[in-house]
Parts: sequence; C-alpha cells; structure tokens
Amino acid sequence: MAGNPAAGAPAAHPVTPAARGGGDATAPLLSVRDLRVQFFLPEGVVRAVDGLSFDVFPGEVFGIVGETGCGKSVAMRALLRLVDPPGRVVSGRILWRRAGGSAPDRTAAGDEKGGGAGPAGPDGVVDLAALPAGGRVMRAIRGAEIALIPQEPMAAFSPVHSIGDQITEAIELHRGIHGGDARRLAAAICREVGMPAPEQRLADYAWQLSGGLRQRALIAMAVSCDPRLLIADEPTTAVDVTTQAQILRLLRRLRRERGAAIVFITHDLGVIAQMADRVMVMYLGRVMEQGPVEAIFHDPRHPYTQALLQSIPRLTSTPRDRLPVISGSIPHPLNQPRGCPFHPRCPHAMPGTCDTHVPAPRELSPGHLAACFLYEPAGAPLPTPPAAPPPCS
Amino acid sequence: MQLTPSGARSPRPAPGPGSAGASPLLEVAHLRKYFPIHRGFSRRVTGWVRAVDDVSFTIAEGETLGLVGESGCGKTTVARCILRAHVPTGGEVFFRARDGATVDLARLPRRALRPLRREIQMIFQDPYASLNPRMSVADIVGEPLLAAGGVRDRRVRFERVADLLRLVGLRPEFMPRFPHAFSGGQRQRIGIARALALHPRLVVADEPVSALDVSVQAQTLNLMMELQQTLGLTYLFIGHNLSVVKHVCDRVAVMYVGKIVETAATADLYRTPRHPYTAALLAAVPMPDPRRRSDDGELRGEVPSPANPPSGCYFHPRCPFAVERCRVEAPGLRTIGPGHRVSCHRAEELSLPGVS
Repeated sequence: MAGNPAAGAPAAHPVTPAARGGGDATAPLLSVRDLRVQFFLPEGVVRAVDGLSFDVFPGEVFGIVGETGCGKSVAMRALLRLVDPPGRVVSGRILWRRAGGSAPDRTAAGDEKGGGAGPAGPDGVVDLAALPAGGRVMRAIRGAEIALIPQEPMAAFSPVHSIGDQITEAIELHRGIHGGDARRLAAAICREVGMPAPEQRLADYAWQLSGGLRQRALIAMAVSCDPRLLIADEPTTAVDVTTQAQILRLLRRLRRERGAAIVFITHDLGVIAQMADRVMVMYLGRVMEQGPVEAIFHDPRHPYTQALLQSIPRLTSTPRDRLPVISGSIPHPLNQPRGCPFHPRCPHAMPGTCDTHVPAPRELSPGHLAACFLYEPAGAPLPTPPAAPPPCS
Repeated sequence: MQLTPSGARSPRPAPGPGSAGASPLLEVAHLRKYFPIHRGFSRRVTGWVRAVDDVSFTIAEGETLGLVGESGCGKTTVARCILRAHVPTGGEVFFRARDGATVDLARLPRRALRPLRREIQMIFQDPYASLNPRMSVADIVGEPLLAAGGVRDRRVRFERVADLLRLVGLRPEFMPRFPHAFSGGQRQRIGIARALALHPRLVVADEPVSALDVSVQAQTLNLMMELQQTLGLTYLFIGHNLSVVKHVCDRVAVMYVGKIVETAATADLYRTPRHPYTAALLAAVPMPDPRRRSDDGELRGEVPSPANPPSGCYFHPRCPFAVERCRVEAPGLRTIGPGHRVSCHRAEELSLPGVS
C-alpha cells in the first residue's frame, strides 16, 4: 500500500523514528495531540487517558507498554472512536493522514459535526476526534485504514457466524469485492497468515479453532482490507509461549511485506523489546517516557521505566536473588494522586514538587522524552498546577 | 468426573522410597489421570483424555520444584491430583506427613485425608476469582482455622488472622474489609495468608503471579521466597513464564502433553537443555532486550490434543530433529547426567542451545 520513496531527510518533528518501513519519512501517519478520555461514573470522573501525545510513522512498530489502568487500551479505542458512554473523548486531536495525504498541518475536520461528508477528501488529514463516531468517514476509516487486533480473540468473533463469513464481510464492506472473489481473497489472506487448509477453516466457527489459529484468523480479518495502521492490543496474552513466538514473527513479516505501521500494545517488556522500533511507557493515563527502543531498554530515564525494567525476572538473572521492587500498588482509577501519577511509588519523589505539579514531557536526546522533574533544569518555574477535573456533564 | 476405570491402580503395598537418608517430602510415581470423553445421548465413553500420563517426580523438604509447560500439558491436573481435588486414575502420590509416616494420597479414603489437608495448601492463579467477594478478609483467612484448625473462639481466630496478615505484609486493620477494596497484588497476599493459616509444609502454587501486574509480580515472588526461608516451606511452583520459574525454583520439570519430558536442576536445565522441546521453550521467551532479537528457532505447529496424541514421541511432529524412530517408539524418561533426566531418543547426540 505505502509507497517507498527514499527516506533520508531528517525529521522536522521532534520524534525521530529509529526505523521506518516506507512512506513519506517526515510525515507521521497518525498524530495524537493532548488526547483526553474520561469516564463519567456515578462515583466520580476517571481520567483514563490524560493528555496523550504521540506520532506513528508509516511502516514502523510503535510499542505502548503499561500496566493495568494505564489507559493504553482506552486510548486505542479512542483512536477508532469506539469509546462508549459513560466514556467520552473530552479533548485532543487525532490527526490521521488518509491515503495520498500530506503532513497533518491542517485540520479540516472541524465542521464535520453533523454530516457524514468527508471534509478533507480522500487525500487529506482528518481529525478523527472531531468526526462523528458513527459517520460515513469514520466507518470508512475504521477497519479499512486503521484495523484493530483485539485482545480477546474469543470475544472478537461472533460465535454464530463462521470465520469465513466474518472475514468476507469485512472485505465486501470495505473493498467492494463480492461473492466468490471475496471468499477466495479471504482464503488467500488466511494462507498468508499461516492457517493450514484455509478453504476448510473458513467454514469453521471461532470456538472450533485452537488459540493460535483463532489469533491468526483475527489477524487475517484485520489485514484483509490492507490497512495502513494496525493496532494490536495485547495480541499474544491469551496464547502460549511457542504460539506467541509464531504470532510475533507473523506480525513482523506482515509489517515487512505489507508496509503497514503497527501500534503494538502490551504489558510484556520482553515482547515490546522484540517488536517495537519506538516505545511509549504509560502509567495511569499519562506518558512517562517515550523514545527509541534501544534508549528505553538501555538508557531508561524515567524512574518508573527504570523500576519496571529492574523488577522483572530475566532468563539471564541470578536465581533466588531478591528482586528490586516498586513499592506499593497501582492506585485505584478514582483515586489518582495529585501531581506526577507515579510520585507515591517513586524513589526519587521530591516533596513539594512531584506531589503538586505534573511534569511535562521533556526531550532529553533526539526523540527520547521523559516526563519527570529530575530532568527539569534547576530553578525552572514549575508548570501551572493541574486544573481540577471538569464537572460532570 | 469420578469415573475412574477400576483396577487401574497398580497394587503397590509399601512405599519404596523413604528408606534413603534424605527421603523426599513428596514422591509422585507413575501418576495418571484420564478424563472420559462422552458421546451421544447415552453418554457412552468413547475415549479418554490422557491429561496426566505416567508422571513421576520427587520434591525434597524445603525445595522448590517448578512444573512448566504450555496450556493443556497437564500441570494443573498434577497439582489437583496431589491435593486430591481429582482422584488419580493410577499411580501413587507419597507424602511424608508431619508425624513421619509416609502415606499414599492417591488412595487414601477421604476421611483419612482430612488431617493431611492441613499440611498441603494451595495458592491460586487468579486473585480475583479465588476470594469470595462476600466474605471479609478476616473470614477468608480465618476460614481454614475454623474448618480444619478447630479454632472456634472468634477472638483467638482473629488474632491469628492478624498475625498472618502481618506475615504477608498487610495491615491487620484490613481485616473487616472485603476483597474488592484490594488491588491484585494485595489480594494475592490475602490468598497466601489463607494458604499459610494451617502451617502447611507443602504449598502448591499454581501460576501465582501470572495474573498480576509486572510491578507487583516482584513483590509477590520476593514474599514467597522469604516465607519459604522463615517457615521452611516446600513449594511446587507451576508456571509458564520461564523467567519467573528460573528465578524461584531449585529444580524444574518440563511437561508436554501429559508427560514429563525433561527434569533437572534449574541452572543445568537452562544452560544445557537436553530435550528439543525445552530448548524451543527457552528460545521462544521474548528477551527484554532489543539487542537480543531473534527470529529463528521458532517451533512449528501447535500442542496436540491429549485426547488424540501423535504416535511415538508426542513431540515428533514439531521436533526439528525427529527421525523415523521418534515416529514409532515412545521414549522413556532416563538419566543423562547427575539429577538430569530426559525422554528423547537423540538426547546424547544433540547439542541444544540454552541460556546463560
């Protein structure tokens, strides 16, 4: 899908990807700016995603790593405009460059509130956050240009429709190919993702397949419309280690052959180290650190990233050693700490600073950002205190 | 569930082991557990799922044995047979009780089993499913004391519960609270406190950290290792995360489709695996280091069903080293080095990569 012009010019954008597959090297495929998603519950407001900004460049694997409640899955659902009430995207921009488009410098989607017509046309940049979630443009993008590989393959497939019918449906909806041709294309894609005897498998139901095959069927459905961005939300948590290795290898191959960018979400640091070109570390809805995979794993700067990397047992570590731990546990989402969300567990927390102010991301080396007061120059004015959560509407 | 084929238990009058100097706390010998497959309206038995098929291992007192394998390999069924949640189809489970007598848990009548239940306890995988949401922490941790410990006095019981909570690093003030008020890591501590309430000697931990967040896994593993030191516990640690298993276990047994394929001291097994499946499992672990990316050593295919295993060596359809003999003849577990046992025809000639 993506062409492959020479990628040479240094990126004008602060974030330089370490490796990219193709496309216009300087223009991100997706730019998320200050995205906020909140859930308005009777007990209070949960700020699930709290000021998220990142870029995804064509052909790269962008890894998002974080623990329970860090907002990684909610953020991805927000990209596809799949956040259901009581959740809502309250602010921020999700700039998506449609096929043949240019850099996301203009947001022509502001006036699209009511209608379904695509304001930016097929080759512009659209702000997905401003589009109606059920509108024509969003439906044309969702599944076709941006596809999701959800976490739970059993829940993602309908149990009363065969795998083949579901994959064919996606092809018919988005690619205008019908009947036997769509069926044959579905079989070809299933073969591409490594399903043995795909013609027979297409007649099976999801519950008849093994975990590994079900995951492959899901990947087949996601890539069936040749998306330019694939969002893989913990695609290997439900499968065994040897199957996991197969799935990761498959995703790497699909990236290479199809040139699609992948946003890879996981809590497994091993998987992220194996897959990603660039990594974003999230905690309680905020970005703690972001940078090339090499820097995140070999020169982590944020105390949370450092602690996370130290606390995991490794195949190469000394057995029975006491593992360094992160004290405490992840706070309840309704009970988020003030200031830096990590400060109650942080060994470097500075009273009077970290517990009252939210650190802004600061670029420490090209493309490597950390949001931590340790890296603020001494004497620098503190950012304005965080605003009170907006009233429930 | 209790449809065990009669006569399947091999008659073995007295426990053979136990005569040696350091007799094991637990010896599992030729353990088998088959589940029937029913078909049709008459629920006729048409086949058997050989969930556990001739599994043997020992655990010395104070030791941690890791049982690893992929889903469906039978590791949890082994644990359930030891706890007698399942009645084994065959084989023996010898346990050296506190009074020194060695008993076969596989064949003990339920009544005789009761006093032994205090000595073997379990830590469960999912701390969200294993605690009753309608019971307070005091009742959850105190229940074994009431049910099997005979501590009828509420005040005495709650004092014991407070001690147990302190032992696992929770505040006794948490006693009146209910599980929903706790995070995953704290819930797992409650589960550990409950398991320790009756001073067990053997603790079966079935994937105790798999459901926990990365940042709290380390706390839980540290706690389990500390408790082992202070209380002299013996662990059977079931897991699929090979990095975690390496960290806490003295010895490791690798299971594949109901059978143990390799067992050795931890360092030995990870440095020089002798079974191709062990080597493949190690190669499949994603290393948390972008400088050590690997795209090779991938295992073909998937784990076969224990209801319909392949001929010969169960691993041969996926094994990159399989020869004709592997297709027809099932290898037995044999000793290949000090404390190192493997079931592979070609173990001697293969040189498999491990991790160092």
